[in-house]
Amino acid sequence: MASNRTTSWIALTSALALAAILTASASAGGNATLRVAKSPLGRILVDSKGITLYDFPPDKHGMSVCYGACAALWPPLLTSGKPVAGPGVHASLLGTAKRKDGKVQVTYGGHPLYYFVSDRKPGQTTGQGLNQFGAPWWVISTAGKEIHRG
Amino acid sequence: MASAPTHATRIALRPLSVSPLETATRYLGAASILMVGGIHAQQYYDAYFNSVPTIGTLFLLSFVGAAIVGGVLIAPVRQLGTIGDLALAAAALGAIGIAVGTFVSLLISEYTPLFGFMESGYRLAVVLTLVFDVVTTVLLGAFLLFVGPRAIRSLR
Repeated sequence: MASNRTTSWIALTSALALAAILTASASAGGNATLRVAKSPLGRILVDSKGITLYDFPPDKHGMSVCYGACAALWPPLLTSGKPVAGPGVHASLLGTAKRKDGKVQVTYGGHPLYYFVSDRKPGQTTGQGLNQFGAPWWVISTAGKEIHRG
Repeated sequence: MASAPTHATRIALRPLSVSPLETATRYLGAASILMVGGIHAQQYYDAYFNSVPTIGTLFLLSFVGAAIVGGVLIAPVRQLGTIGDLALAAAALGAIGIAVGTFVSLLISEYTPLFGFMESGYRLAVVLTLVFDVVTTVLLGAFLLFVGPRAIRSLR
């Protein structure tokens, strides 16, 4: 009886651990692909699904300073391998940076890239110019420059 | 000359004697749910969660709800006698509902997006909220064991 209970607990714990691992690997998202999208702000960087990417000016030397609540609202663009440059994206500007938790974040022109939690659909740029966590957030041009409009 | 209070009035308005344990669970539970609400308010106003659709609104509702139930738990509603017990029991149930709802939602959002939002690890605000959720549930659950039977009797 006790043995059955122990087995059940082990099975439950293993299932939860497996679910956590699968979720974690799913959130890493494989090799991140960057694309270019036309927007009212100009030609900007987006991910493979067309979701807008942003830059945070306080990040220095390609290293992110956005953690905690900041990373919850501005999730980093993560990759589990070498990021892929889609049409119009300069592969030479693509790079990666390791975050404190060991995850790998995609950079472009030395800027770590982020999503904004309110952007749910392709074409949305609701984070543009928002002053949060100490500085305004900007979309990025294909040249790797911040676009300070909108 | 004022007429003497009826038997029913005396019962309804008589302040009840309560044990120190009941008093402790009530006020510590109230403080705990107010902490949960306070953290949500801080996240809403200071950590920019007011810009997050749905989740931001839920944070605000959690703060308002926690303030209401915490306020009732702290208010001198015992002066109302058995009616006060009903109010305290309802407030305790509401606080436990908020705490359990917050706890479950937080854990879900740690592993998968909830209303399009996913937490970024167990940051301080998350850990504190989870701790106060558990403390609230335990303390006010114990408090309900005291006040619940009296509240139910008053309904009969």
